[in-house]
Amino acid sequence: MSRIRAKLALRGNGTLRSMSAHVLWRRILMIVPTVLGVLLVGFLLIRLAPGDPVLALAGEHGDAAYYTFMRARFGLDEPMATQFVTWVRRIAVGDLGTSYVHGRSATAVILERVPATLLLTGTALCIAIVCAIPIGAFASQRPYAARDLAVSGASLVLYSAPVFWIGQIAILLFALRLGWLPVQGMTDAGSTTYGWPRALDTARHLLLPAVVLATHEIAVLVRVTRAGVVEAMAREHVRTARAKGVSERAVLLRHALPAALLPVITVVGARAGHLLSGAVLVEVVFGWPGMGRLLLAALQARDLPIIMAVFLLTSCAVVVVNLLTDLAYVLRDPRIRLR
Amino acid sequence: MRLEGKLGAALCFVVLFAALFAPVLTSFDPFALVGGSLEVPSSTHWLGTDALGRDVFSGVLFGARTSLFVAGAVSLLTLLCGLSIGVLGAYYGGWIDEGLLRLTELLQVLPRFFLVIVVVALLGPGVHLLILTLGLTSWPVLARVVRGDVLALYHAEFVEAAEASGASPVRILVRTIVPNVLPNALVIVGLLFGQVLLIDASLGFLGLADPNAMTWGLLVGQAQPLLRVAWWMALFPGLAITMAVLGVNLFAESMSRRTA
Repeated sequence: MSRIRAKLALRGNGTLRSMSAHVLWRRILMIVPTVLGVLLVGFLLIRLAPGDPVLALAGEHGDAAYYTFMRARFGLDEPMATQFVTWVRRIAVGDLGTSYVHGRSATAVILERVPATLLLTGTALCIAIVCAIPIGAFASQRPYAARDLAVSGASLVLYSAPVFWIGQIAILLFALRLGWLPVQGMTDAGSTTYGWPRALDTARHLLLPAVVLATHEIAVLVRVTRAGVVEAMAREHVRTARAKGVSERAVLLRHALPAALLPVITVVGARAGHLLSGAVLVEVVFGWPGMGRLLLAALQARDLPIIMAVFLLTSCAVVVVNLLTDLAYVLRDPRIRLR
Repeated sequence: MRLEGKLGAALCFVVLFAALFAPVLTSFDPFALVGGSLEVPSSTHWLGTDALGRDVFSGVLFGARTSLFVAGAVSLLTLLCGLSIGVLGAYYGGWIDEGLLRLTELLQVLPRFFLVIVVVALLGPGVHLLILTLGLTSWPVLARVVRGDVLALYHAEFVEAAEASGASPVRILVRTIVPNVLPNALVIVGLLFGQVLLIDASLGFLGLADPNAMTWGLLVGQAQPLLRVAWWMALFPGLAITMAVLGVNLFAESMSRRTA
């Protein structure tokens, strides 16, 4: 049925939009089972952990009747499926438990840290895209020439170096040796400035960690852009453009590069998890007060609600980014139909 | 083999050599306090010593053992899972294929790094647990490629020939299809090997690795609070990680050119 509708839809622009809407809704609904799967993994991991929760709640010296009472009180005597549903319901209203260390809702503690992490990852992603696409296009102009080999080699080395180590080397070089940028933190210690001076101060602290976090993304995106442009340059629409006498520069910018950007979108979306795990490491290296620092502190204190909340939040973020990538894909290229 | 493949093979060889002959190459135990605190690199301690006076060079050598063991075991487990799941899905089709595809999609979404962190936090650090967690969650990409390759191969003439000659389905799978899928699969496992080295190093950096094993990540992590005073503690272990990952990536990439 949907296939017939898709065929009909291609005849007029109005119906094309309705077909896209239908396909988009299907894609959007597909995140429900995925998110449930993520929650199931989290639930099973908690259940797998050693130790009976009743012993932790009621102490080891209670009698059998008291244990039974406690089990019923916290729903631990329910079947696993019921316990899972209860857990999902609680999470659906944003209740991820109380942090052992902070004594407050884990959701609230994490939400305080999200903006710093978003600022870091967002800046890194922008830096990566702005740097990688021109570099990739530059390398693609003469495949296997010196410039291409240099760019490919450099990106492979960057890709192979652990991001936390790149961070340490950057601190050693640019902060400690040359003194150009601050070593750690989000603002100068004890700074009480507001407005523009504070934004400038934050930007100065942001530059080094954001560039470091961007290195792996740059390395990957350069390679993807290069491969995409090289492939697009061999296609017929580019040959047509050249035959018409379009300048080489316009061929690249108007015909080859746009076609090469689709895989770039895919790769940016598919690497959301890498970007977030990289952010954790970079935050630890640079003392950036985001989710990563929080996660490390939680790990050292075995603050399980926070750890679980970070896991669920990052997983869901990856699911949402994947969805957005697919949507961007459809917007960019209406020929692509989802399954 | 082109230059990049040779370079990759050479790097891999150096790392493997260091791991195999660690006790011969250094006379220091990586955990023993053998020198003064934070000594700069010298003729006795080639890569300097850490805050407790442990030799960094022997740490790097013995760290290679743990890291290669973890990455090797994970790669093997992934190869087993990915091959069998990809082949099963493609061979049986229907709801089995559909179910396996859903599972593949779910695992592909799960951020592995965070998953491992949760597992370590809940069940405690340990090399075996790490191998199991990474090995059982890293196969999706491989399974997808294998599944696609098997589906494509089913209509190849030599498979039809094997069928016509009366070979059993199991024999066709094992003798005809798997050997043809293997080269592509090994390239993916090679690239995965590098990723696992990086994840393992990241966990060590955060202090989540097995405390009884010397790892590269642990060494770089110990350098973090001492960056101002002991650059050598950060530089050399990180260089070792980069060399190993770069070697594996170069080698796997040159292999992929060959099979392509």
